Amino acid sequence: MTIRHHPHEETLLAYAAGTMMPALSALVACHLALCPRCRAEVRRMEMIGGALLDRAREAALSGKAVGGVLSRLPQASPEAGARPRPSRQGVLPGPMTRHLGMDIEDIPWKELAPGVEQFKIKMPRRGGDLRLLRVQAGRKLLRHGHYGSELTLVLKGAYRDETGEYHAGEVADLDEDIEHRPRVTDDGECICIIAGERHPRYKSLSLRLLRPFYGY
Amino acid sequence: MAEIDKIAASRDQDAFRTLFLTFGPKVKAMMLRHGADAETAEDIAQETMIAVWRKAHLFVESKGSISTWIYTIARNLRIDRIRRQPVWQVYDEDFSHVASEEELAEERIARAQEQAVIAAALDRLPSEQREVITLAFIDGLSHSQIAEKLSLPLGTVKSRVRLAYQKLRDEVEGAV
Repeated sequence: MTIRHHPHEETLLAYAAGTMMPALSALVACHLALCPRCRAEVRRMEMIGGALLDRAREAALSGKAVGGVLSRLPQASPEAGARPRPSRQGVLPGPMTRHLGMDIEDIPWKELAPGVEQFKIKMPRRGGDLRLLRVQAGRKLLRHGHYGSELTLVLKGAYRDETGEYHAGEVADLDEDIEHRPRVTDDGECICIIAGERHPRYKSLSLRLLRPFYGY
Repeated sequence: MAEIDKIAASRDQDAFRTLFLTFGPKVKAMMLRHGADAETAEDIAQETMIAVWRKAHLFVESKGSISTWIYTIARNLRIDRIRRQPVWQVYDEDFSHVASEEELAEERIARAQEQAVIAAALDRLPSEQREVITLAFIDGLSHSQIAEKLSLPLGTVKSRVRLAYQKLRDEVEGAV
């Protein structure tokens, strides 16, 4: 599987610096589980953090800091190594399975429209919007734009829109000014993760009025 | 023998004390810059170094740079403790491809070289690029927050961050 669409470099940099909203960093973590190239990029970006930490101005520790931390050492036992490997490589990437505590078969999908189902993942306040979407082959979604950036990671199948065609493992990294109308290819259903700073924005008033009905 | 190896090998408290005195004040400063009060900042500096104590043996196996490792621990605690948000991470167990011993050895060498090149290249960045990179990585500001702080359009911040990184990467690729 060759991955041709990756998150923008500034997106990976925000992830490496730990400044992203949880919804967006969740999606990046899921892409990293699938993409060796971006893993290598992020590791390199983290080295920037290391080099800057070396050069950082220091803040004096209080008098009790050293004694305090040393007294905690005897209780701090060595941590065990790796977590158990996910039982099998399913549709959901490791970080998502771990977060949800379930696999794709157990997702309680909710129908939004014929052939379109979603599962909203609970995010903390101001954590952004994160959802799984399952769309049948050949279905079109409504034309929409976004408040802030939107990332889509395809897990299964493929879709195309004005910006390109996206297959499993690939990410569409869209800025606020882009409007698009995704259409799932005819080959089969498409499952993806969508992360946004806020929920999608529809162009026409009538669609905005329908929003509560569709649950978007 | 480096301090971290002594901790991994024999739980050496003196070695830990030395590391704490080196990195504790830097991590504390990083948390203060993110807006933590002095007590929380010091608490997170302690917690970061306790994690170093507990995971030293795992780090020694991976042979990366200690500053980068400590940076990532502090960064994750900043998300968890100050921003009170979940930390989304990827672990080795998540990869479909497991690296062989040989690949790992090669990667270790490459990584040590990269770290040195990046550190040197950072000093040569134009100050406006270095500023945005520092505000992101050390102060923990998002691109929008940086834009607001510097009264710049968001697009300008993103392109400065990107240009800075591309310059660092070009230097790494030219050197390794």
